[in-house]
Amino acid sequence: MTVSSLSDDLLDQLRTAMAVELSTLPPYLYAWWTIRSRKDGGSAAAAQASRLVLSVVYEEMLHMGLVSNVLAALGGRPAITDPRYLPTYPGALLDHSKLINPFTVSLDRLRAQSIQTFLDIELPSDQAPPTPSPDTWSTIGEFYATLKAGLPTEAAAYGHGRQLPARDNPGAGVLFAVDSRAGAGRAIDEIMHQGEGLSSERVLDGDHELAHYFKFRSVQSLVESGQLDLDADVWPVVTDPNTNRDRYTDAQRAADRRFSLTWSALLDSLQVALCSSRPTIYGPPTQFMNALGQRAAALRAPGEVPGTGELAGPTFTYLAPAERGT
Amino acid sequence: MGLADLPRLYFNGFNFWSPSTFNNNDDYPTYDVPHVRLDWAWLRSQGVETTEQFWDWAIQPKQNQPNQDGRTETVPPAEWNYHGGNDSGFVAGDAPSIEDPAHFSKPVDGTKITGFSGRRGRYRSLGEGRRRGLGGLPVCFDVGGSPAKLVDVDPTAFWSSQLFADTFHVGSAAAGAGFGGPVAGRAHSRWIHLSRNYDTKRDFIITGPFGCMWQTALRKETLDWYGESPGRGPAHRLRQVLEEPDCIGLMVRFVSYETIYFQGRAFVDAHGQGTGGGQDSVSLGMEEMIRLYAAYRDARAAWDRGETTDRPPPPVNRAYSRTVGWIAPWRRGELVSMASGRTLLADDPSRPGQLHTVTPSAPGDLAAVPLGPAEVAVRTRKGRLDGISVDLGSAVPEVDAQTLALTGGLSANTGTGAKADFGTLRLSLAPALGPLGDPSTWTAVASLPYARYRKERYAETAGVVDLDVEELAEGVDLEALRSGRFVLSVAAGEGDNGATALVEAATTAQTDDRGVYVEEPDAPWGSGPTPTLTIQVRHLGGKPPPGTRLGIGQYLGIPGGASTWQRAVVGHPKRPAPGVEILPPAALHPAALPGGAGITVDVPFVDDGRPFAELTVGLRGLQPSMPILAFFPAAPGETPVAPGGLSSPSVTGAFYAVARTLPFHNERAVAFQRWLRSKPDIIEANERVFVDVFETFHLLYPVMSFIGDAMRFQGWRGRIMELTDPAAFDQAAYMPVMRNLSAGQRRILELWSSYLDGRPAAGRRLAQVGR
Repeated sequence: MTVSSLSDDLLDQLRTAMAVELSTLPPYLYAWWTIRSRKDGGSAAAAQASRLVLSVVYEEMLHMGLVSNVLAALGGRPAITDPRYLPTYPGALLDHSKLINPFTVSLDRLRAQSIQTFLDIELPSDQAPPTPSPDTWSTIGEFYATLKAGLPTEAAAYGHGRQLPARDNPGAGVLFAVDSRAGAGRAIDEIMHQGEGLSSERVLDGDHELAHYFKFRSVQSLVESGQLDLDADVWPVVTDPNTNRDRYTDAQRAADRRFSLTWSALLDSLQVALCSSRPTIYGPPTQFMNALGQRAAALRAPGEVPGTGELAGPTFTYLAPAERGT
Repeated sequence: MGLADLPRLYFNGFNFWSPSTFNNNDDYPTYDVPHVRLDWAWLRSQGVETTEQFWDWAIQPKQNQPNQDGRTETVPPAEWNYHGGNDSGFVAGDAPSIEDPAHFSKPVDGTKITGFSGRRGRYRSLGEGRRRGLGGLPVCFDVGGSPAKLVDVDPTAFWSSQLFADTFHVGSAAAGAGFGGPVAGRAHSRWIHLSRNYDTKRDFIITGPFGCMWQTALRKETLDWYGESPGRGPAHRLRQVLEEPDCIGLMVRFVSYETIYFQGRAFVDAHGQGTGGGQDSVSLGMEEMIRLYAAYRDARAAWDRGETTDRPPPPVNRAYSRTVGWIAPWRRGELVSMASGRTLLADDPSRPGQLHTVTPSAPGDLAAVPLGPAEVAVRTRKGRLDGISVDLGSAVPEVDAQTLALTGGLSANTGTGAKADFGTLRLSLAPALGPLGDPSTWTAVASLPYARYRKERYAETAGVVDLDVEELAEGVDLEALRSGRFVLSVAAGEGDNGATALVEAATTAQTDDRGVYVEEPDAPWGSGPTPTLTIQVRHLGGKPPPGTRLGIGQYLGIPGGASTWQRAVVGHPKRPAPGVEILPPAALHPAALPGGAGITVDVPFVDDGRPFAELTVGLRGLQPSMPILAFFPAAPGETPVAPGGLSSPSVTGAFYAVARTLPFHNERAVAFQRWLRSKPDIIEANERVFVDVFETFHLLYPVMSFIGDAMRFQGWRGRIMELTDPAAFDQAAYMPVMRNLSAGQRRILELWSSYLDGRPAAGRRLAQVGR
């Protein structure tokens, strides 16, 4: 089966899936970076919350890798830096329903509102309204269920290789090569189970850990029990930096630009890596990913954003090559 | 074969060495090497309770124990290269890349092909740009991959150093000239010569005046030749020899000497003086490193906090050596990592543990020293004597160190690097067995005047001297050369054999398994194959006669001993307990060495036409340790004898391997598997694995700081599993770089990874670790 004979909708759905997975990383990372480490005076509960959020970040990376393997197996190419798929904040997840379970994703420090948004993102399907969304999709589970149902059954469709190897997985769970309908289905099941769990009653994801939704519920519990002090344990970083960026000082803008350059380089390097004949995220994508945390810290370093009483955070702006200068 | 084989290609340049030094401090029991753990009880006695305190303590100035001159030196516990990653190799082009050129330098010149000897042994220089002749092409390990790694089997023992490289190259595919391919095995520090340099100008510190030889090989079936076959010239000649059926590839031998430390602007004081030599050089260099360590720590912390935009470069303080080397055909039956010709040593066979020493005639005020080991090989052509080749690459000391140009407009050393002049060296034949007898009764073979081993000649041919038949003494023939022991002596005058310098070890026992890794036995999940030690035995360069026996004695550090370099044989009262059990095949008629110090076995005689005998013994771990397994061949009718101790002078001339019995963690792995059955959260599992497996490495090696906590450990899971796989053990990128991850710890990693996969914790059988 050739790529052209596959439904464009399916390939587009898979690219959308990658975009959805990618678009969860900035809000999770943004919140994660605001949790004070023990070295910076954070509490044990803060360390626990940090580990929980980071474990979700890793698994979103795994999900992106799994979707990439399904897309590649079917002969499709990712479009990570295509403006149609680039996330913007604040905003909705790509193609998310505006009617059922609607929510806006912001870049926000760890606080009650952001945790609630994370719970909305990872909402198990059995907690959403039972009717299918009339416009697009209301839960990630619903989105993937639709996608899975549309996967071609012909074995020949899955022979295009270019698979990320298992070792490229930072998260719990398995990043496996997809070469069949069963494999593609298993990949999607893994994403669904890790994200929302097997069901509300079965909070584990099958990999000996909580599903994302329940991990964020755990973070919420740390806050509600008073163990995690959102004032003392969290850097006071601005909400929605894009709407605050005009208040940034020159130093904060410069730091944000450096961050965005690294973010842009990361997305470019991912696009290149995933389109190569032997994809791997080790090398430039990993290097850029690991550099982001320091770049985010550099936004906090210059002090308060004038008039806000808060510190600056990165806007996660993708800069087109022409905007990057030398 | 090897040295006896022509054509031969020569190179000349520099090595770089970047061992991480926090694990081999001679003055503090910071680190329990056998068990790969920190000595927290002792550290607490120093006021060190936490990780942060440990890292701060690592770079504090401390006074070490008085040295042999009675002086103390300032040395931080982390020693001279805390930030090293063990990368090592040849200085060539961008290798090594200097992270902080404002403070550190490297030699300006690289390592390049410089000359060639054809099938007749005629040397010619290969100038730059003569690509057909390979002249000027860079020599390097591991192009584009993980750099080669310098790893001591025993971090406190320089005689156990190994080089793990993946590939070796002359030139490159991009340049369209040269050749390269995977190396056939590790190189090991051989022929260590502690008196390699007289150091009359006091330029050297640490191991600066030492020298040692390294050897590896490239298999012809995996060799790539870059560019068109030239039709003539050195590359063409080498390729021609490779067509011969018994030629299995190319061997590479090089010698490292004149090692310098603390090179760069950081070590140049206000008067323009470097700290690389002189009485207080160690302290001055270390004090500057302490400042650089602290500055880096602070700068790195500021960068992590986002307060600075440029990531600070780590203070990597590489050492550099001069090197000369050669490449020649490698024949079937020759070892990868050791000379297979006839070996001449300074050891005095009539006085066990004592070395022959000789005094140079010029300069006239130098002391008597032992020469380093040499190799003699008899060349034949169509069954007839064609000449003799003598490898003096490791033998003759220099008087001082040659001035060396460094990047940043600096230079090191203050001398000429001239070879000590021992006058004419005489090569003779003494009786094959028993006492050497009166030198006047020896058969003269050849004379080597100073001009044949002086510095300029040494630099050209890497110390190899090729003698034509016409240059041999009258009457020397193949039969004579096969029936006597070579002796190299310093002539007092014409016709006088003078003082004995080196004597051929009539029977040699050598192994490529110089560093052999042994696990705790009887792992409940199934152990890998039994580690083995294969020893090649030769007598006068040929097969040893029936009845030859081999003793294998086991030596370990003396409990509570004063010197980190002293090793005592096991089995005697108050001597160390053995680290391994040696498992000989029954067919070798094993017997005990006196005092339970080891075993003796038959050297099997098989009429297979090969010029050597070979035997293999198994090893079983008894306790975490690094025993030296020394080999003592004995002629028919004689009994192998193991001396009571090995100290640094005698160990370097000994035939030996070093075993590394890794920590015993099987029980820990079983407990971990049991714990996993309680279905702990993955974050908890990460924490436990981080502590059980990784914490010591995390604390000791700053290069591992990118894996700073248990969650990031998980993030690197795929690479960790890949790089700790026993199948990758010989690859340069293997982790941990010190090769001291136990089978139990690897088992824990496998269980953990399976658990994270959501699968039952099964793991798989371990592959054999090491050789």
